Amino acid sequence: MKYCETILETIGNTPLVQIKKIIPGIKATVLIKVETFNPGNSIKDRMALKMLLDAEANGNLKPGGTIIECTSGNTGMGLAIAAAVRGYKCIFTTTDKQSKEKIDLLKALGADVIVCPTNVHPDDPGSYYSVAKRISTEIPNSFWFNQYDNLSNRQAHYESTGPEIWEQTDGKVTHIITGVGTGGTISGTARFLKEQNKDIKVWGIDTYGSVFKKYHETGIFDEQEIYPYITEGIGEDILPKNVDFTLIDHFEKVSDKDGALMARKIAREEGMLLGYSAGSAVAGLWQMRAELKEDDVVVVIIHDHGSRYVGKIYNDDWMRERGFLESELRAKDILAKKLKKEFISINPDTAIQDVLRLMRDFDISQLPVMEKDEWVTSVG
Amino acid sequence: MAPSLPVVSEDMTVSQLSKIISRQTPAVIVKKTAGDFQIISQYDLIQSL
Repeated sequence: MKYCETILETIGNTPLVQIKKIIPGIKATVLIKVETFNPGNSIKDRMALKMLLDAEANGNLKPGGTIIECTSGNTGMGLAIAAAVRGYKCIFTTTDKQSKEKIDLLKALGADVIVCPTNVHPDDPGSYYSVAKRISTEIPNSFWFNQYDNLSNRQAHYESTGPEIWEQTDGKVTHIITGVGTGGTISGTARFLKEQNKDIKVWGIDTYGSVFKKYHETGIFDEQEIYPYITEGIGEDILPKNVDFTLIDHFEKVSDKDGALMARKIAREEGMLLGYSAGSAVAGLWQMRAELKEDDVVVVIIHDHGSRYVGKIYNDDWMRERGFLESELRAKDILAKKLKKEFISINPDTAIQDVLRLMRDFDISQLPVMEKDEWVTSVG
Repeated sequence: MAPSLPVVSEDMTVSQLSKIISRQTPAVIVKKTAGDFQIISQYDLIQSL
């Protein structure tokens, strides 16, 4: 019989899938590392399990203990899955910017979630970092994983993501591109791959409103670069210890709009429903296309699944409200927004008192009149 | 009694609707793809904008 003893054994060994249609003119082989095949539908399952196993091994996490983490959802999902299997409780802090779907998913796996404000300094007592730190000191037998500075995060990718890409491409990979948030994915994967071939180019995707690119290029941590943005999962207002800037050859900034539009394009033209940052990563590749040659093999590591964004980037109203969709509203969009869905009509024989009652009861100004299946007039 | 309200497709854009809906034509009937009807009044149009 061929089976896994627990769901945790299904983490990793995700496929590489080629994309062509959405990147016309790029002659290089472009492959997406589809991390949505992990049991929590994101790449974070890898590092969540590694952080948990390392915490057990070094005694930070004891039987019956509580896992505390600040997470935008995906790390929480990975931790919640691993915690369920290995018997721990989870308390997560997250920000009010994150999609409701992500938070509900964490709760579905039995985690407690504390939602904190986004637009506060990380040192503010209300920030999701500070709250996680504080409760980890208050709850006995608890451990704050701190994915930003916990180096088990990037080690997970050094041990799994990097070797998988090397093997799957027969050592032919020339570029890796991925969004940078905690920096674990890019740093761990890049370290392994550069040890095999130092010429592999590593491009990190950053967002407008984040500090990474400027810090990488100038060594200056510029608080003026920080402002609220919409993209989820990439960019930071801090410098996590997991980001090894020496391994990253270039940071490319992608706008909120371009990332969202590209994610929709990937879904509609390549059949892959991926997360917001996946759109940003492919949009970043598109921005960098002039650097690519025909025999290059580019691996884009994506982070999560699009189901967590159905109310956001995959929702036309959400996109329009942010000016990301230029397509005009249509009659059906207006109808979808109407609170009163009843369609009231009358026929020529309807008594006047009934007409007045309908108009009053339903608070309507127009009553179409139908006769023999045709609209003949209206009362208003 | 007023003239019959125009019947439009659910794919009609807001700019086209704006040209039809007026003081004289305070609403349109939308024939949906499923075959049923709905109404869009001047109020609904303004609300959506």
